[in-house]
Amino acid sequence: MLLIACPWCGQRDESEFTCGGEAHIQRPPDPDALSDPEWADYLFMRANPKGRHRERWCHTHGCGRWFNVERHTVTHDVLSVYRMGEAPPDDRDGDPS
Amino acid sequence: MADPTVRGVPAVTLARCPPRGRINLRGNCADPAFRAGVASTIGTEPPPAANTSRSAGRGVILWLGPDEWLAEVAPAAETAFAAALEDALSGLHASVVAVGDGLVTLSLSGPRSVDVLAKGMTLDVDPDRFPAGRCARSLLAKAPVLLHRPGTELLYEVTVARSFSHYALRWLHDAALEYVQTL
Repeated sequence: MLLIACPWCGQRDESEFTCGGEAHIQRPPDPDALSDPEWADYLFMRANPKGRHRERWCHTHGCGRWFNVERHTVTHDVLSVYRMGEAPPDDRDGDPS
Repeated sequence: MADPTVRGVPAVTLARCPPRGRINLRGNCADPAFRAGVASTIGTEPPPAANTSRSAGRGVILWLGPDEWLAEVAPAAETAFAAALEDALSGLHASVVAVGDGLVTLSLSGPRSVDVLAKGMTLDVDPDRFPAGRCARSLLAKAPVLLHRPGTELLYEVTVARSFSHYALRWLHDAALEYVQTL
């Protein structure tokens, strides 16, 4: 069970949250210009990293807000939590490793 | 056999609260016009701090989210309060919805009420961690609930959707049984 620190409510149990998959996927500005493989890549293909992963989570049974969680997919450590629209902590530090 | 009382006080008391008027309120708390509109109607501004409630003469306002609150008022006055709020907030990016009939509030009090809630909640409801005026939406035995501690006495109000109320009441009753059984 994960303990996730909601940016508004503080630390809560995983059962209150819903995971919304990989974060920071941008919708192509002009979908009509894309080929079918490119559109399928945007729609269906997701990173499946072993290690750091940025995900969207929703505090469904709390404040109802969506936010971002950076999680380690092996250790399940929640590395950081940041609000929608905020830059991921690594980008802010200028160290995207 | 468990002692049904703790120092002469019933260990747990479970009750269904009388019907309440409730208004779901959404808006921008940073906007002074929104705060003033709510204050002029309910008697207090919506609490900006997460998971807190504020009471006034005319009602209680509970924090649900950064832009969402639940105002509890007298049941007969719900329609009038909703209309007054709509007037006071007209022109603002805000929403007022009367939701009183859809929700039921159960009250759980007594020295062992914390133990009863702890059986079905992951939230820390210890009186020190969940002080008076604290509220939180969470899950109680998988049912979505709004938990509120209105005062300093050990009393928790559990607000659930009406369709969940029978289940929640039965679950709480079962969970409380071991503290009150007098066979």
